[in-house]
Amino acid sequence: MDHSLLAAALPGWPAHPIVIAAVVIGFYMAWNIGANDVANAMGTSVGSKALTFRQAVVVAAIFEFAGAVLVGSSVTDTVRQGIINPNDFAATPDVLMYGMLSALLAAAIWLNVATYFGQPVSTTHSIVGGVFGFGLVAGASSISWSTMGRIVASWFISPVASGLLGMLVFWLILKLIIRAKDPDLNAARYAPFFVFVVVFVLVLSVIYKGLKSVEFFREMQLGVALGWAAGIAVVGSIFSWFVIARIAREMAITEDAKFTFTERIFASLQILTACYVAFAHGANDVANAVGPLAAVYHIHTQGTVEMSVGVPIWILAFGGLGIVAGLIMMGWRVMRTIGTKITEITPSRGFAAQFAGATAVLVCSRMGMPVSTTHCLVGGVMGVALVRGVTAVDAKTVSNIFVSWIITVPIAAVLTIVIYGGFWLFVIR
Amino acid sequence: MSLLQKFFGTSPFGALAEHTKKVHDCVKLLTPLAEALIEGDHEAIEKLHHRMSKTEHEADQIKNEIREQISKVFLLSIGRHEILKFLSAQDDVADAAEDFAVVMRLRKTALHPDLKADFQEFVKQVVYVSSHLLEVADDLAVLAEASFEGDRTQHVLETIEKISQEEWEADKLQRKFATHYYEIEDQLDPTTLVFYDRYCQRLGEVANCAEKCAKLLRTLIVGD
Repeated sequence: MDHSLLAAALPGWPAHPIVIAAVVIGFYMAWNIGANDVANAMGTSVGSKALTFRQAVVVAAIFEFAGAVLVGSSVTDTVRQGIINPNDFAATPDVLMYGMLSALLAAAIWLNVATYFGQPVSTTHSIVGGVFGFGLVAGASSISWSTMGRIVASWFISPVASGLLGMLVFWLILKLIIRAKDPDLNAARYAPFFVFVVVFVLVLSVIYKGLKSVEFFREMQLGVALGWAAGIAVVGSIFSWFVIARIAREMAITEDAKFTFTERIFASLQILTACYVAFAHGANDVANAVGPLAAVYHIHTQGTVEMSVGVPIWILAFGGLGIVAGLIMMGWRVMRTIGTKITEITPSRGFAAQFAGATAVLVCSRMGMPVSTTHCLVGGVMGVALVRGVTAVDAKTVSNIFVSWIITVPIAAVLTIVIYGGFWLFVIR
Repeated sequence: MSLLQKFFGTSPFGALAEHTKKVHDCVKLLTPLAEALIEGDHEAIEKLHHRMSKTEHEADQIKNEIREQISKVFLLSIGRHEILKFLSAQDDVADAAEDFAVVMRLRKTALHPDLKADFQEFVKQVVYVSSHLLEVADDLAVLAEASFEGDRTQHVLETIEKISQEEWEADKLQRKFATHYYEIEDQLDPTTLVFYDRYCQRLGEVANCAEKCAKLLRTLIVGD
């Protein structure tokens, strides 16, 4: 292929085969993430008919992209230079480029194989396993064992923390609303408070040290950030108050409809948590697609493994676009089938589980920890279930999750080593 | 396919209420059976017995489906063990009702005209106890939605309390009926007396088993 054509069309474009391969596979990974995971965020809202699937796709696209661009840099940084130390490859930057490409390729292949066999596999575990595998073959000393240890610890802690939070939130809903004499009135009373919390956390995650490449955000003090977040959250909760008033006008609240009304309020609250999940998911999972790409691109354009500058915003946007492309092209299909099938979880439970899962993912994103959104959501559901919120969870699916959890890292690592071996034999040497 | 889609298992409450309904359908047949006994219509008794067997078999099928279904899920808001115990207790209700029909068919025993009123009252009460059970089972799905909290749950727990009281009423009517046929034992041949006794026991057993179901439902709902 004549790369000079592409280079001429896009000035400054590094038309090197490795970069092109990383771009293509990275986009493919992002596409996969968008296609498969979007239903986790939006499924329950479509199921409860709070959103049409068309609206769900649009909302998911906006929030996935925003999450990826605004908060995606920390985790991307961890994937590109946290797990293995790039400085160990100062003399051989090519090796690191091929290694990152191998990790990306291995993760993409494993995801496809697993999906084919119906296994729920985490893209996060795949990519971390891949980079880790390359570290092993390149010399275990290049692996930052403390970072790797923290990441693995976060895989245990994040679902458990999400579970505890889900338990707490649903327990509050039970205590304040469902168990109350007038669940409908209490739901209307407390809903703006829930809105405040969600919007506050979301806004704070963006403006306080979120977007490092934008000076306005980088320089913002904690107090100012808290003020902004609180202000925007207040606007959000006032808005929600009007929405609830409208629902109340539309529905005649008879004695029997009290519960329906309560769940209607949670159904609209769940639109918010669905956005929250999409945002957190974009923020954490974009790294799985563009982390290795960022490393490859940086080494190629800068000619050095030194990655002191932040992840370029266009790389995050590129990953975000990939996710959006995947969810627009495939997500609608997933969502349409899911909408009719999820009836086993009511909006109040969905709200608690999604709030818990998204919060866990977002906190981990800000800490630069790549975690599995799915595992966090499952943790949230389990937490709700422990306070008797969920009747039945499919036993086979739960065991599938555990099995995939255990095998993904070793398989992605071995696959990376094999692919890197191929590169080493046929290209590098 | 999305993970979430496969994540939630089927809730057992719908099938559970269906099982209760089938069992209650068996119990409801006690009323026409009692009428047929009073009329001395043995052909009707035979037909009703067949119908009861069929209904009981259908209940059994539902029971097996539920067992199969809950073996595939993590049950979280209620225990698997409690459901199985409840199912087998309901099974006992249907069995007791069917036993009554079987005893009727063993011998063409006529009911003494003096006993008619007491007998009818007793049967009516037994069916009444079981109908409360159906009411509670129908509410289970709604209660699960509220995580077994709130007004509605309190109401259901009160109904369960009432079942115990109604069962006690049935006991009293059973004693009344028995006292009555022993009072006129001189007019009855001994075998007939033995059969009255067996009717009495079987019917009492239906109410007893229904009460046991209600108590198990209570543990299901309260959760300990």
